[in-house]
Amino acid sequence: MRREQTDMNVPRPLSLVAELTYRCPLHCVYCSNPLAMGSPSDELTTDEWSETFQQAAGSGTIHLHLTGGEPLARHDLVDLVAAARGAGLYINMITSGVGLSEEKLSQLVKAGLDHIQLSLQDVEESEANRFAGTRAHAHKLNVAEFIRNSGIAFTVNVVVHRQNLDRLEAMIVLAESLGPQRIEIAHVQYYGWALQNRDHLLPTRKQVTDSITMLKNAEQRLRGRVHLQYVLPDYYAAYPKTCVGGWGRQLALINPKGQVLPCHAAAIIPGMHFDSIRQKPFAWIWENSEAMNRFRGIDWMKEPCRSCERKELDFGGCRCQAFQLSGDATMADPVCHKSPQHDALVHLTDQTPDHSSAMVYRIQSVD
Amino acid sequence: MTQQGSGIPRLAPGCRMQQIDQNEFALLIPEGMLRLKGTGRDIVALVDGHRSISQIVDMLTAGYGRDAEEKIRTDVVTFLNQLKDRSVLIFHDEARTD
Repeated sequence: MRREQTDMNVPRPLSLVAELTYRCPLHCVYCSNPLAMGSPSDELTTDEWSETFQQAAGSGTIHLHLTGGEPLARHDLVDLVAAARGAGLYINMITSGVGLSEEKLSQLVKAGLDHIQLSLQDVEESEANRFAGTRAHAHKLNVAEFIRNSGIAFTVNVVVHRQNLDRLEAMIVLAESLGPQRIEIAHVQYYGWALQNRDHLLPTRKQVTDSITMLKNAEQRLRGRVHLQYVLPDYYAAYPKTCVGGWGRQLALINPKGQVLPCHAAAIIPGMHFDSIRQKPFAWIWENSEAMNRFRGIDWMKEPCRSCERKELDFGGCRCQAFQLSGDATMADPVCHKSPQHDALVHLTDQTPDHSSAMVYRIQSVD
Repeated sequence: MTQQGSGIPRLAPGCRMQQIDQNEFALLIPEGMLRLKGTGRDIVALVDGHRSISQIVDMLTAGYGRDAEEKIRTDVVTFLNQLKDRSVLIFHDEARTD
């Protein structure tokens, strides 16, 4: 695939996250989708997505992550996969498995799907269904069986938080029994619906410490058979994560109506304007749009980031988290021990869980 | 740590080589990509699901002295095992024909 970039100082958008739809049969309490999701009638068409995949590949995109909502809610999913493969992309589908039949899977594989990532909410069915807000757990176990039998590359993603982290060992055993090549332990990230429910979900310090020992043992036990991947929750780290590989450096996200964002959460930052692939070419948006350039590189930084020796390693961490926790998106990510807000974050992680309010379930409001 | 020095390696499902730039190849894997240059690229290029590890080593060491051969063998076996641990390669028994 020929690159058509003009400015060689702008890195390539190696990964494209395509939120095909916000429609989803699940209502997970930690969904990363925005609280306001808009109307399904605004979704990009099959042709619009297909053209977008061509343009992204032309800008240097390698990996395409099909997500949502639930990608299977799109009736044209097989056509979208074929279009993406035709553009030369590597295609990963992140799914709840709801809506996947053996026949649909075989069509997707034939169309060029490279990898499936299936999420699990818990090892206990009633708890899993409680976190998902629907009875999906038993169905997922059934789907996992024919995914494994199909021979496609398969990752089981286990979402962890305070209410299930004590069952981590049993969850890994369950994930292993489903026969994937990879198991990913994903701590909830506190954006979108998860931030609304943070008091119910943020793990305790002791849980996190205990889980590290458990994970190291599991990694050793599974070595050579299943690749175990895990990332610690960033609220407990000393340095922030290099969020999305740095703003506008590796990843672009396109939401169901075609707006191009640097990450899942950037719309929460005040004053952001996102260009749409309905109006502008993808390459132009990636290189020149205000949104992609707002926190690209290091020029926007102030202290303590500006003089920090890690500024080109973690790029100040996550802009959205900086805004959420400090009220200012140009501050250091409060996860960083150099941030003036870091003590407040540590205080938050040491608090006693608050169960006084009920958890909020993800719903797509119809407007 | 014991390392498997025998078997027939092949790319695992979801892992494939792709040219990503004029002079650069990458091994695309589910969680991202491994940029391959020099020896790493040469080794993976010989993984075809038919050649055994010994045959791959023989091809890479042809023309070098015996001392170099031992070192290359160790490096190749280590590299292939690292990829196996990441679920990028699968090793089959040499007796198998499929």
